[in-house]
Amino acid sequence: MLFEKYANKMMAVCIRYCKNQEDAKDLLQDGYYKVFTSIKSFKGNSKIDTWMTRIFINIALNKQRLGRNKYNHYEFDTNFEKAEMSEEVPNEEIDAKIVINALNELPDIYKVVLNLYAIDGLSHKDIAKQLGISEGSSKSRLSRGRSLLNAKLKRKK
Amino acid sequence: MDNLKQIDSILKKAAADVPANAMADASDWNAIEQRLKYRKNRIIGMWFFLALSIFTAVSYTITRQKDYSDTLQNSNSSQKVTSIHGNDPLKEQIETSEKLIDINREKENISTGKKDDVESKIETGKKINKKPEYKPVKLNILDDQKSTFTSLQRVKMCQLYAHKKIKIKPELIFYQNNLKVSKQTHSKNHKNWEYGIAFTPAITHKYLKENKALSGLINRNFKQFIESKEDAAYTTSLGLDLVYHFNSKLFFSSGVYSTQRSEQINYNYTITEFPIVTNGKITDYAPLNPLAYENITFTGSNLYHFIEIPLNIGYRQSISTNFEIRTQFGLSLMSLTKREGKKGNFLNLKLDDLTNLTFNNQNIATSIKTGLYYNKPRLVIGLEPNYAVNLNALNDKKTNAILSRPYSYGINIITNVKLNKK
Repeated sequence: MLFEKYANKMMAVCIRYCKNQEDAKDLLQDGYYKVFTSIKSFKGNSKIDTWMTRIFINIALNKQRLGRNKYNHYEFDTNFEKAEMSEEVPNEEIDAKIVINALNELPDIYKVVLNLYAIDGLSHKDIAKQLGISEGSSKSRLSRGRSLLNAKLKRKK
Repeated sequence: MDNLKQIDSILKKAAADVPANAMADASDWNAIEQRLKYRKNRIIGMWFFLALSIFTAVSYTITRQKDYSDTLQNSNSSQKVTSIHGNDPLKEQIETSEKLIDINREKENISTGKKDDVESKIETGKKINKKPEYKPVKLNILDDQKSTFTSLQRVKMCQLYAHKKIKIKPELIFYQNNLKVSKQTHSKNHKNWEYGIAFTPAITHKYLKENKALSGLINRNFKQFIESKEDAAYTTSLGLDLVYHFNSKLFFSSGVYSTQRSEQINYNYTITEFPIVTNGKITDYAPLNPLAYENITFTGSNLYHFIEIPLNIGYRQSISTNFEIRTQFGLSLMSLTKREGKKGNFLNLKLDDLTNLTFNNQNIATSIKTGLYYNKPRLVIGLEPNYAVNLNALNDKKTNAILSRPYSYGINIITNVKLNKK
């Protein structure tokens, strides 16, 4: 029931936090496993899908944290960062798939903050707490993430 | 800057549209169901172990109660003992003294006409003034043979002492009751055998190493698609445990076990290219026609069954009457008897059935364990962290580019029921 009703919605969350479809599917399975094993802790204070989304986000962030520590030492694309970053923003009619692909191409540190702030609606305070960074870092990452995403979207357009 | 904030609304809109592009399918549900089933099995396993522990504890308690009843019965029936058993000089002296006590009691009964019952004498309030006719007995009992009396034994001792005016040390009366205990105390310091059943739940995983001779044949996606999707799994070991104590400190342990090694598999990938091999090395990758893409989905446990014969040497240190620390290490011969499951091929990433792959049937493993043991005459329960690892690779070096050495770790709870003890 929970799977049939919310699987696609949760898959959307997973895709936003993962690099590719395979990782997203892994996250979906991990998330649902966690949901089913801890369903007793759901007290009904929020909507079930909101609670599930929080679980999926937590697992995604934990995975990223572990993955970064174990394997990935992110290499920043300095050329990309120096790319044109005008404030001219593409219109909202841009295809969703292109937006999500562009988001996924961003370095994790920006992608995660953009996801948490712009889509999942967390405050900078919550983001800072969740990621173990300062609020200032959260704000600067958001700002930079927006610029980078904007540049990518313009390039794709 | 404000313009850039429009990015947020674009993102929100895009996020809401995503389900059309990415759908969860039945394979996802199957994978989740499989994991939940595995969890259920794990819980069942834990319950089984708990049940086994309770059964062992209850069996032990019943056995102990029976021993205690027998001891009390021996104490009561000792009044009727007419012959001297055994060659133990102390025992003979005890029985002689008890015979004297019996004679006195019979004489008292004749003279008073009362029942031979201490309680009935208390009720009637009659005193026994007759001087007991016996010879004082001197017994040489070592301090360590004076085992602790139970409260019931003390009461009986006081009753006899008060109403029969027995002038021998209370320890003497109860020496016979405690002969058994004394013997057990002594046996700890001598050579003896233990054997019983051992059950060891554990977590198993494996060390992976590239085989240098074939490392050029490892697909570039192997780590991402296969290696990273293999995880630790829950396993058990069940068998006959055999321990020989050389002395109070050193022991040797062996036995025969049915042991599992396992790995949790969660493959889900698509083969979109194939490797081009030249001179025993992958030199390039050619893309497959999209129609020939192969979707690999496999979730489950790969199982390796072994017959294990350990040869361990150990050291034990008593820390109290019932508890001791045991440490042991050694080697095990592990004979691979059965394998089940599937594995991703290191070269082309396709699934191979384990039965079609080449493995070493005879393996050597080493293990070290140390833990706390609750040691009673008929039962040993141990709680000990255990680590065991294969010394050689499980798969054949000639045909595998990735060599795997299984290991098990965790806090093992070991329950040995002693079936016999000398």
